[in-house]
Amino acid sequence: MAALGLGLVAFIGGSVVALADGRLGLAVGLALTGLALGGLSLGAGDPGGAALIGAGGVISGGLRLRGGAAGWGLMRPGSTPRLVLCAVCLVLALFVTLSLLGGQDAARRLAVLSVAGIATGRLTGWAPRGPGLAAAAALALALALLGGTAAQAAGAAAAIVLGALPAAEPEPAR
Amino acid sequence: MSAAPQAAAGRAWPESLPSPGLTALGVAGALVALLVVAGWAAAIGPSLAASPAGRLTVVACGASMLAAVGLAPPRIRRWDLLASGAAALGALAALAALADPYATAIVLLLLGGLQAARSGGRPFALRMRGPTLAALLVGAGWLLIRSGSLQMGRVGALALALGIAAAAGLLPYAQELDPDEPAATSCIVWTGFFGPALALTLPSRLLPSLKGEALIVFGLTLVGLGLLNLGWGVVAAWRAAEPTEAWRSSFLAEWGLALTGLGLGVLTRQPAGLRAAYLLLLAIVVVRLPLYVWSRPVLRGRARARTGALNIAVALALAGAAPFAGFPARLDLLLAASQAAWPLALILVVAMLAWIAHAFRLGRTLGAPSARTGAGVAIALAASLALGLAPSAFTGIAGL
Repeated sequence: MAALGLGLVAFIGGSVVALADGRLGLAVGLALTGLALGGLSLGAGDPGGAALIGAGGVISGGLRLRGGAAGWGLMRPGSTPRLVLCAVCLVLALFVTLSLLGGQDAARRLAVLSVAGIATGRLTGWAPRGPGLAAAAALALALALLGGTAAQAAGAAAAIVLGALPAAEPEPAR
Repeated sequence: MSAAPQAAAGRAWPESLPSPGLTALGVAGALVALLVVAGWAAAIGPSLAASPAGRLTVVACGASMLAAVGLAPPRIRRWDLLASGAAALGALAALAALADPYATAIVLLLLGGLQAARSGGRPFALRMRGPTLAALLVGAGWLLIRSGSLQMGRVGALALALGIAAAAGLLPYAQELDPDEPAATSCIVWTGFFGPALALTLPSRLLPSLKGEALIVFGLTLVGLGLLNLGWGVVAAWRAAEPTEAWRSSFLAEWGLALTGLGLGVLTRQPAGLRAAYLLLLAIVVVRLPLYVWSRPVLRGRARARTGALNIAVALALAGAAPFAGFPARLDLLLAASQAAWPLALILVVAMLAWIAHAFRLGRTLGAPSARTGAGVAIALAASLALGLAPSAFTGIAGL
């Protein structure tokens, strides 16, 4: 039951990343996603992985606070398609996890599939740079939860590096 | 900016050098590449052991990057490109060494983010689209294969094959190629640099886990994607008004042959198809990509196209004529196709012949290269000759 709760918290964190345009919203969403995914890893008996993924999410979120639009920026006008995206991803993740895959890892798979779907939808749907980088970091953390130590370390490092990249568009170089 | 602040900034960090962050990334990338090539990465953990084929790929990509940067026209920011290239080489070495497909997916995503964050002509979201889809498809595909369900295993195999196409920027995920965009930030880097490395190393790690129908789905999807890209590349080259688009089509067509070979190798379990794919992908990295970079002055209208002896030699190499790299690869591919289904060999022959005329158009875009670029072209042709005359020396390293 605790694992299912953590899976839902990860989904909420991913949804906040998708629905926020401000740096505070993106940072909180990333931290929430990382901590929930880390909690799931801890529940599976992998404290090292939990530390890596949790730290990756929190540090990446903290770095995101350095730039971008101020405030939460949640649910600004035009965000309805993203809200629908979150709902559709949750339903699809539930369907795939419970009906098609089954097994003991249901909460973990639910969390990964919902966060990965939401992050991919946000990234490929003309996301501005800051929210796009935050979504990429969330996707890296979700993938890290599925793998071994190498994937967890790569996921945490990727989330931190993506969080460190500036949110402002650079000058075009020709 | 006035002269005084410029001088002050110059004292802090020389303007001729890349930024400190990019320099650090470049140094880290070069170190990772060295660790993987020397085999020292395996000492860190068994999940970091690159196969001999993977190590050769990293060496080939490193040589190609050094040649493309070192022998490019003098007006480019050479140190900036070198640092970016070293960072990219490190990531590529990680792709070749990481045994866990989830880690591979994460590295793809990181690479996409780092490349999309640099200044370039296309929007951030558009540049992230291919790497994101590739990461999702590889990750989801591996999850489904590992689920143990036969039905989901087939879907997973399909996703993995599509993931390779998405990473390389091939159809159905092809992106727009802007001739004015710097080569380092354009999608051609994925088609000519990261994509081949992924295709050369990922399938060998996946194949032991793919059983029965999942293996057939994986092979058939690769063959289907190969024929789609080959057909599209040949037809699009006929219709292309701009030489940049013709170059783009040439990459698609060559990738089409490589994917077909890879798929046939998976389906028939004979080495001919895999050998063809291996040679074609190596040739993309060490021959086609540097030649494209050196043809950019003509593609951007800064120099004029011409037909000289060097241009004709380049055209022959790009067409896959004997004794260059493409020839033994094409022979192996036809052998693999005839082992699987002879009508497929017929289609491949028609596509290969139709391609020859475009190769001469591409050869002209090198124009009259400077002494420096001419030396680079000569090195690329020599590499193509080496691959063509002694293919077994290279395929032997990969155990094919």
